[in-house]
Amino acid sequence: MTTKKFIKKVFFIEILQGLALTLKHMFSPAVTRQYPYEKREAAAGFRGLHALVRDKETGAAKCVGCGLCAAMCPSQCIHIYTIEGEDHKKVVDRYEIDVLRCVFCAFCVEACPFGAISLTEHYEYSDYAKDAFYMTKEKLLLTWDKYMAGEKGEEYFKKFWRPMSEDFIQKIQNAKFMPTCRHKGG
Amino acid sequence: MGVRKSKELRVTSYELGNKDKNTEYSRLRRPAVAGTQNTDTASLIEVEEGIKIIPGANTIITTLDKVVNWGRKSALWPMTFGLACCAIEMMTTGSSYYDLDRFGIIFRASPRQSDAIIVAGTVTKKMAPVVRRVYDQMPEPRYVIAMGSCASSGGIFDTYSVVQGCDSFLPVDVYIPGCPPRPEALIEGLLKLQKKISQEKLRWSRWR
Repeated sequence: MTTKKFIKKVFFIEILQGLALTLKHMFSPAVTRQYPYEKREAAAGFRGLHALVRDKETGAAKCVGCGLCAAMCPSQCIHIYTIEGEDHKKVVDRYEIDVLRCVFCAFCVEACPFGAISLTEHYEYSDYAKDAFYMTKEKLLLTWDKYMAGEKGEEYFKKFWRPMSEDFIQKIQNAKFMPTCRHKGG
Repeated sequence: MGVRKSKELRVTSYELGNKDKNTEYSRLRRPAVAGTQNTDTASLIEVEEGIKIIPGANTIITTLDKVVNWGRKSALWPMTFGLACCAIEMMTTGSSYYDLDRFGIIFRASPRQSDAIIVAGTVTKKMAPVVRRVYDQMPEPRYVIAMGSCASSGGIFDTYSVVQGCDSFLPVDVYIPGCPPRPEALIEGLLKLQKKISQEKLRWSRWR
């Protein structure tokens, strides 16, 4: 053993080097996500808390109470109660979603012919009691006002919940003017 | 390191020596009791609700509730016990990216040494007694978090084999919705639980 090696062993040089490296990292900024202080934005079209779309003109819910969403819901968490209003019109009396049962599949959004229900990007709503998760019509409309009002809601529907038939028609129209490729020789 | 306390708490430890340089303290100082002299040593400074400082004496006065709750809150060890797909998100939350350690939340692989149980996933009727047994093995005080739709209400599985919400056999403290909840949502739930713990009263005592 050379003297150099001996000195290294006696004074724990390598261990101290390692400790110095660790200490150095103590003063470097955090590379992790500091969640409650900095929040990552949810991906576009994230399926969070439900909202009932508020009609811009009338200010009421767009929902007509056809019950397609409730029929489509795999966990059967949507409850719609309708009553007869003026001129024998169907009026949505209660529209309730048991959020704790929901699986956030967005089948309800897909099924709705009027685009009257949507899923927002809000996901931080844990609570101490179950009652907070039973969403009534008013609560759902408030959620819309809070997270989807204005341009955002319209964009959301345009981007993700446009009827796919539009795409299909567009494709056919484009195909008409495209040169057809025929198999030659045969 | 890393655990963020409120600003006032951090100030107390090293600014006790120099008495009244900080103007914030003079604002917080209580009005003097009638009959006593209004000296610095006589008046208590209320730093936070329930936490007072005797200036010049290097002393902090607070209630036992506060201290105990702070201790419980700052070292909340949940148990690693996954039941279904929510457990994947729970593992992600425990990963270095989300860094749960800064809240003092460290996953512990034994019920005997953990404070909270995160019911992460579908509780089947066959699994329910096991969950209950694991919960019973945990020492008091113990907390339960129902994570996800299935654990909170049965979710999509309204069937013969699934327990309709783990609150039918466990005292749930926090419900976290989502299917599964994002890691951020789980962290939010854990922070809510910490908030609940910090508001407890007399849970350490015999007369709770």
